[in-house]
Amino acid sequence: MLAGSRSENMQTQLQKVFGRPRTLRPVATHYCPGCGHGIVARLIAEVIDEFSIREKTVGVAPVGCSVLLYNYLDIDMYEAAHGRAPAVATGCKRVHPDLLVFTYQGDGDFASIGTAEAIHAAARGERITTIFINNAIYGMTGGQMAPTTLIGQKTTTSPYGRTKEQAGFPIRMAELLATLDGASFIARVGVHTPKHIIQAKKAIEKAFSVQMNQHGYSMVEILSQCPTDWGMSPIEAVKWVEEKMIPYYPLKTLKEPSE
Amino acid sequence: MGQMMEPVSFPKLTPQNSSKEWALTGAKDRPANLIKSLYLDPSALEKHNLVINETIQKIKRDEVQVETAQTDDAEIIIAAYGTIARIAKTAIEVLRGKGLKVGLVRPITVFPFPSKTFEEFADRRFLVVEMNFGQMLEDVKLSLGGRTSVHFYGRTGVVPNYDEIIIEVEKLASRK
Ligand SMILES: Cc1ncc(C[n+]2csc(CCOP(=O)(O)OP(=O)(O)O)c2C)c(N)n1
Ligand code: SF4
Ligand SMILES: [Mg+2]
Repeated sequence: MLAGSRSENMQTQLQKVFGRPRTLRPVATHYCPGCGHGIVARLIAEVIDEFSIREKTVGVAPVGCSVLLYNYLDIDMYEAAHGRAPAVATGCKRVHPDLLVFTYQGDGDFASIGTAEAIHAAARGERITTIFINNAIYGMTGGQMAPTTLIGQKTTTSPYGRTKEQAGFPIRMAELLATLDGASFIARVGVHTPKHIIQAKKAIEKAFSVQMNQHGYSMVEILSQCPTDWGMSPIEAVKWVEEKMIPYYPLKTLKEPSE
Repeated sequence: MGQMMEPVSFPKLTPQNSSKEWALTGAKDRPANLIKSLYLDPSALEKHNLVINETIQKIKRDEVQVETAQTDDAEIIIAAYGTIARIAKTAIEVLRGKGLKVGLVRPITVFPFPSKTFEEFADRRFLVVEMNFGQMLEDVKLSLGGRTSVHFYGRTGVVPNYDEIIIEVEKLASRK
């Protein structure tokens, strides 16, 4: 009796301050422990809920660990062929200009096989948003070198570390796209500490509002941990983002509309 | 299409509203829609492939386009598409003037391939003429299933003149 009434008291005092976003499906994800993808999936769901746009948002997820995003977000979604998400998103947005359309692409996808589509979608000023997950590696296929792999970084296809002589230099997609007139909002953020996660969410909010306010192309590059293919523990992986990735890929807003 | 040598005309396109239940229009008042081809579960993948295959079979049934010309009494049939088919028609006129019974099968679609049309002429001899080393040749042979002889004449990089085709047909005719 006593125990029962005590818990009743507690219930009336408890206030719900944190829960699962409506847009995030209540399912387990396939992401490895410590992966950045899961954090970003949640951030996107939170932003969609806060803007109340779940019913008018369409996402496009191409090949990569990114693709299964369609299992986690409770919105209309396309799977696209490797690198082709900006083309699919372009078609969707042009037919349905009132929808919010975003792509969710890895670095192998966006900065390698899909570079041409990425650059031309930005150059055309397509009113779409790209969430670009830069984990400096081909995650899904088992850790091959990506265009974003750092000099010296070991991958299955650069077992002694990437060299500039053999593989050239890592591509900074944010800086590259920021040079294009069609790009309205370009930022690079991280998800390796709570502080950075909050900043990443703000950048996604900004990118979505840029699209909703009829500006041009918007892109958020997110430095993301891939402990599995980096051969690290989740803790080592967040340190690696801070110590190795950020010096080469500085976190900043490179471009935003003047208002 | 921007590269086609032959003229193509399109009907005027007008935007249309379609209310397909699978369309991605924002998940309002319905469960979210998903368009994908990745199925990690093998039996789900096979099920999906069977559905796609049904569509392919329907395309094969309903979408074949082919032109035939002067085939009724033809002893030799030229198989050609596009520019070569046009040149072949001139060659056929000249050959008919010389008393040779020659006809034409011109696939308008190469997929789906007009195999049935070729099968109908399995009792004639064939000359496939192409501007390559024989890209359609295998399809013609497959359609005819070894029931008749299939010859080939190809130019690569050069558009053949109709008299080259005439020479090839005459060679064939003299072999009987
Ligand atoms: C056309 C095509 N080429 C290659 C592949 C194989 N493939 C699957 S995932 C992938 C790499 C994805 O890497 P990234 O875009 O960085 O995504 P991540 O898994 O790291 O998030 C590749 C090459 C494919 N599925 N399709
Ligand atoms: S392989 Fe890397 S990117 Fe893919 S789920 Fe695992 S940690 Fe994440
Ligand atoms: Mg990657």
